[in-house]
Amino acid sequence: MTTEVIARTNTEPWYAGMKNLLKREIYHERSRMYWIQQLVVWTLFTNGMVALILGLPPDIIDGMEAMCVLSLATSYGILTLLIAIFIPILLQGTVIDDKVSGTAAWILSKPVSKRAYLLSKLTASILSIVVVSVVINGAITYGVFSAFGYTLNIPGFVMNLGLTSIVVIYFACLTIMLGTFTTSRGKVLAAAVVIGLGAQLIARYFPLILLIIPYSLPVMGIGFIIGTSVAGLEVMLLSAAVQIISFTAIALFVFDRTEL
Amino acid sequence: MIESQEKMKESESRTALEIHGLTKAFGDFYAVKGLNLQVPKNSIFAFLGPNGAGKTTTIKLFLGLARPTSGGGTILGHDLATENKRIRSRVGYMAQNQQYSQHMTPRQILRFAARFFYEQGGDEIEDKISSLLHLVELDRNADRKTKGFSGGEKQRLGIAQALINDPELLILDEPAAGLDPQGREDVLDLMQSLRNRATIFYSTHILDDAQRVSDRVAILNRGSLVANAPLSELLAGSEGTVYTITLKGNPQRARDLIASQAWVNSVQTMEQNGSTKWLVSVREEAIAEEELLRLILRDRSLSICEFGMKKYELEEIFLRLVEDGKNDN
Repeated sequence: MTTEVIARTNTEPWYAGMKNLLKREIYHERSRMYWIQQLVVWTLFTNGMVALILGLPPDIIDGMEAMCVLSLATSYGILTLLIAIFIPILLQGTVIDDKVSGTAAWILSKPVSKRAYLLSKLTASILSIVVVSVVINGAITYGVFSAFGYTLNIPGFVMNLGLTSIVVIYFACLTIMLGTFTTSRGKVLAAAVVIGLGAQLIARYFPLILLIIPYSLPVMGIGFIIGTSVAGLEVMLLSAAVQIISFTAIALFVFDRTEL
Repeated sequence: MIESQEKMKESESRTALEIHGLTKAFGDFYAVKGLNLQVPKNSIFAFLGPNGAGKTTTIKLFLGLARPTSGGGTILGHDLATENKRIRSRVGYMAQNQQYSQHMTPRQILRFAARFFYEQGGDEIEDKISSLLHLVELDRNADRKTKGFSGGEKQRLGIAQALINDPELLILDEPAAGLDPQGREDVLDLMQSLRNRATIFYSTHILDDAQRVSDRVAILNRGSLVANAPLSELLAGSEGTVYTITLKGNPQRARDLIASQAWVNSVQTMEQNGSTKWLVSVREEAIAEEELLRLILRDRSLSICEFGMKKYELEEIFLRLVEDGKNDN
């Protein structure tokens, strides 16, 4: 073996090994077929509904603009609901499975910090779900509208995809944080879904909660597409940012103290 | 001060692992209790113990995967608590029943492991991966996904990935557990072949394996170390040298004569199918070698059916130590 001539990597920085972990998470943790199935599910629920509404006879709804707004509202409403339910389902085992199977212990027996390990999991999860559920799914949505003769405002549409991505990041950070506390997938799933959907129920009585949980961002962002003003966005974005940073910090703190 | 530093350096150069008073408690339960351990460089060190003795917890403490309640030590000269990442860059570890991604092939798993240690891929890394796959006899399945791999194949893959950084210390947690006889044989042969490459510290509850490949053995029971010695010393037994003699005839006079010798510790007598078996424990082997047989043969009415030195099996020693531990508690 000619090991002496192979240059060793610097394992000292906290982020050492993160690129390697990211690559593994994105390319090897789940099969390509898994992501194709995901895309089919996300797009069937959201774009299927959009196509159904846009395909209705125009006289049922008062004009094309109203039809467009209704379709957008339905599409983003369903997308937000799916994010609140699917992301906890998809990510409930991200940390737990590795803890239980010993994979986390194996990886952390290499010169890798717990911080690099957890952040790579979080980043890879967010990237892959954003690409499937927001970027590709969004491009298909745009295509469906175009196919029915609607030309959506591209900068506004892209901005709304950005807002949708924030909701994805929010639920991904929440689910991964919950996964650092326990080894029970059920508890993580229950807590994440209760927080996501429970807020919707509470909002009927305390509408202010919608400013705390960034659930309404994608529906609010329809204003960017149709060119109307979007009120209260700054507060909601600030609240989302604070929570996302807090979830990540808590996850790092708890995982650093977790014995594997 | 300088003298003590020099002593430490000298000790580091001779030991791969040095642990003092390592303790891990979960509430009132002590998984590891005041462990003191020294593993000489280039040895094969078996860390024996029944299931639940604290072997895996100890290994996790070495690798920083768990935090000690008290105590500490050094591995390859690096402090366990403050320089754990440096330790991990010089150590290879194979976990017990390690699960690998089923979507990855052994070659991909080794590439993944290699990237933690080496700057970039390339022919040299690929050559290294191929030679490791050849060493563990996985070259034919190198590009097959690990889904459906047998236990033996997974263990061998585990050893290969642990060797990717040319570790100076290889830590293997139950490397042969759960394998069929052929799989066990393969893993033990592999460990033997690595003898010159690294210090090997491995945990096991399979005593035959420990007896076959180890230089030194430590026995852990209920979190405490009950023995720590070179295998040969342990197998010699704690009672000194013991001779076994099977006789026919009335042995009483000869027995009294032997028992009265200053170099004899004790004579145990057992009756067996019309013959008598003695276990003679002696203090001085050299005198016993010359005198014992001669003294017995003075009694011409006796005939000797068997004469030999008792060989201890590790299992016997292990069971005795573990039993003693139970009685102490």
